Amino acid sequence: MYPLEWIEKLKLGRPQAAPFPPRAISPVVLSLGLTSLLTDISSEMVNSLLPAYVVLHLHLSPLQFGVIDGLYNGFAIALLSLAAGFLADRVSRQKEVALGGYGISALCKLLLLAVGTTYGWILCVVGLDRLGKGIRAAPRDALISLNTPAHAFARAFSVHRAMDACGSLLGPIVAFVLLATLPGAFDAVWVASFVFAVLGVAALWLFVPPSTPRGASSATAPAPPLAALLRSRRFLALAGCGSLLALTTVSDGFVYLMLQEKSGLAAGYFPLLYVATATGYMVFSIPAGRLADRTGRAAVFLGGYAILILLYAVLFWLEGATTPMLVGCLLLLGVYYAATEGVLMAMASATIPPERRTGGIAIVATGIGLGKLFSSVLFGTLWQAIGPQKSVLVFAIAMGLALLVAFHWLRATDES
Amino acid sequence: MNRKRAIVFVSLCVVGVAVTSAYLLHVKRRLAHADAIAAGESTSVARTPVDAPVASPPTPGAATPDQTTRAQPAGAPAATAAVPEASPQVARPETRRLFYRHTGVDGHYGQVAWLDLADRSVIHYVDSLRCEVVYVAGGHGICLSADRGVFTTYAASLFDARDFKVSGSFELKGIPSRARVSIDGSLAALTVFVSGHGYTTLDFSTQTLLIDVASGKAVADLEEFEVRRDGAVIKAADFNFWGVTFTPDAREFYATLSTAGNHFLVRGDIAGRSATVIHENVECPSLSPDARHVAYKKRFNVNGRIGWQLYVLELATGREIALSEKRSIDDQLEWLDARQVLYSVPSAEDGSSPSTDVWSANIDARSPPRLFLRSAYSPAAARCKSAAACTAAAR
Repeated sequence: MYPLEWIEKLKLGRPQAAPFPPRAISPVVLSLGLTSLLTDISSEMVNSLLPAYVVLHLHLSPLQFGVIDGLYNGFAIALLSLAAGFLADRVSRQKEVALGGYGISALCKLLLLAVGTTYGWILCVVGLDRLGKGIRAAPRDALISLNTPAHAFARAFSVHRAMDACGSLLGPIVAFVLLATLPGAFDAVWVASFVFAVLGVAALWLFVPPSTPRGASSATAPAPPLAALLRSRRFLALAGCGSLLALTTVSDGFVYLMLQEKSGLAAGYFPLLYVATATGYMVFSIPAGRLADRTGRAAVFLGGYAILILLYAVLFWLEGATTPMLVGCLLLLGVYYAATEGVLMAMASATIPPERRTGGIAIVATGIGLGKLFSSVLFGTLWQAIGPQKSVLVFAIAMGLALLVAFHWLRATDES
Repeated sequence: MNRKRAIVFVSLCVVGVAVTSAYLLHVKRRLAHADAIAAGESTSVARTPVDAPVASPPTPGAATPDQTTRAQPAGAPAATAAVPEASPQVARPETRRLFYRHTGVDGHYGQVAWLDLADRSVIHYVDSLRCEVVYVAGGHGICLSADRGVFTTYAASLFDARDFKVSGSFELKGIPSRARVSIDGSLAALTVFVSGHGYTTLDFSTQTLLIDVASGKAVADLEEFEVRRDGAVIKAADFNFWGVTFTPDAREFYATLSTAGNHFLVRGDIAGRSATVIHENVECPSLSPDARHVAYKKRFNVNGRIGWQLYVLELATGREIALSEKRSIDDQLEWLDARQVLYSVPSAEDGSSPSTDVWSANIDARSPPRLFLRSAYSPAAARCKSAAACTAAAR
């Protein structure tokens, strides 16, 4: 069986991983973290300002655009990121493909400066930015795992995710400081955002070594075919768990909306909810990663979803929310992210052979992305039909069932 | 090797900081330059004879501490203020003011400004009021403002149209869009874009509130109203209202109701908490002073892109008259008088400037639109039931 052999190989340690002491995080992972941090500062600077920019600065009504855009784009980006993942594996050029993805997003900041008022074009730039994000995610995650010994996967991912979350916290603050000193000068924000993005690309280009074509350990053996990966029960179980659980996840926007309505928070503070979640994610990411490597990744992963069900239960029972309750709920959401996102990627990385790493990760990520896309539409429709309270109950029950299935699958395919 | 790369990265950081700083400096200079130009304009404002009589009484300064024309020395801060003007102006009741949001990129950017419609050469700035949207009628004004921070918050304040004292303010749930005040100054209406009520972040919904000006409290959210179409009650979760315009008696209003891709013109009864669909494809209605016409923007879909053309609807007959303006306009029109409407258009088509200009169009649709006022947005012709009422309301 393929999976067992891969695990054995990985447990023996790959040559790149050998020079680092077992507990340390590879400088490559830290560099990738730096890249993500800088890129997230750059994109969150823009994202936090875009709605106000479009309506108040350009005097356009955003009402003219709807859901369909989001759905079509979602599918297109999912397909493209899969293609990018397979391409990266084929030519063994994870770094270059990731550079392309980060580069596109950097370019978008310049385009923003150029396209001006036309809302259609602004939307195109936003779409292009998301495309860049879709392309770079899988090769970047593959690089993280390829530069880390198998026993420390979860920790490596957790460090990267913590740095990533830190960047998305800093972005809005940088944007605010700029606009406070230069009122109305959105172009100054776009320029600063571009500079951050370029530095992010530079960090990746300079500090991450190019992927060695076909890792030395497997140089003699031919690359395992894709079909083998798709036949691997463990891999299918992981991809299935990811998608199934994503399908029963209420998207953050709806959670924030419910919390906002329960707490009577003004919509202007909406981003604050996002910031609190990112803080939780950043703070709990590394402890969750350590725990996952030590006591079992599946347990931490499933535990994260159990916490999410707890959050849904709170949303269902809570009539009104005081500020501490609000913060508590958002921290729960942050813990859920910390316990699941990077940990699932660590589990997937441990299952997929290095030669198929990027494509395999792209498959898992795409499954999750599509699951989330459908769940948004599902929850939105349900919200309109039976209201938020009952909808969240339905999703909580569905997630409970999905969690049982996931538990069964993961246990049945557990090789350790 | 690694060291070399680190040096390259650090140098890149330095270059990045340098580029950003240079650009920020450039922006700062640009703003300062615009400021200087504005100051120059204000100087000419100060020289105009209209302001001459008011320079003498320094006493009412306390009533208008925050109102200045930028160029004047600190010694005469309130020289252009409305209050001293009041005594001679009462004798000329036909004089009306046009209030608007100044959008010139200078030190007054975003401030409320006003000018006398009889003599448009003098521009007065209200330093204390920075608004995204402003409207004045019946001696009262409403200002929808944005407090930009890490988290931009939005607020509405009600003010007296003569001394610009704020009588009440409250937080808004979203990004300001439209505002109106009834001609008797008793009611105000506002529309904001509330984000998050959709599947994607770029999908927005609106909230439209009616406000009692005296108490500064919301008296109704239009989504609570019972809406009838052809006699039958209609209701849907995707109801969105925007663009209120009041009838002269302030008992009724017109507004746009959007649902399932339709944009209905509804006539609402405030006391009855109800509304009736009376026309289709009408956005941001604006009722003429004689209450016989509604000027509005009509939605068209050209090559997959949405645009708006300006129309006037004759209420008695349902006849639609297309105005001569051929550009796509996204604004709620304002009636300058019984024949002309005002609306704002971005100054630079490519979006290089946040500035907008106000244009005017004749409703006979024969003469072409004209540029009415540069660097202006959200025009309000400060209508009152009578000139006497206008002054009284402000007292």
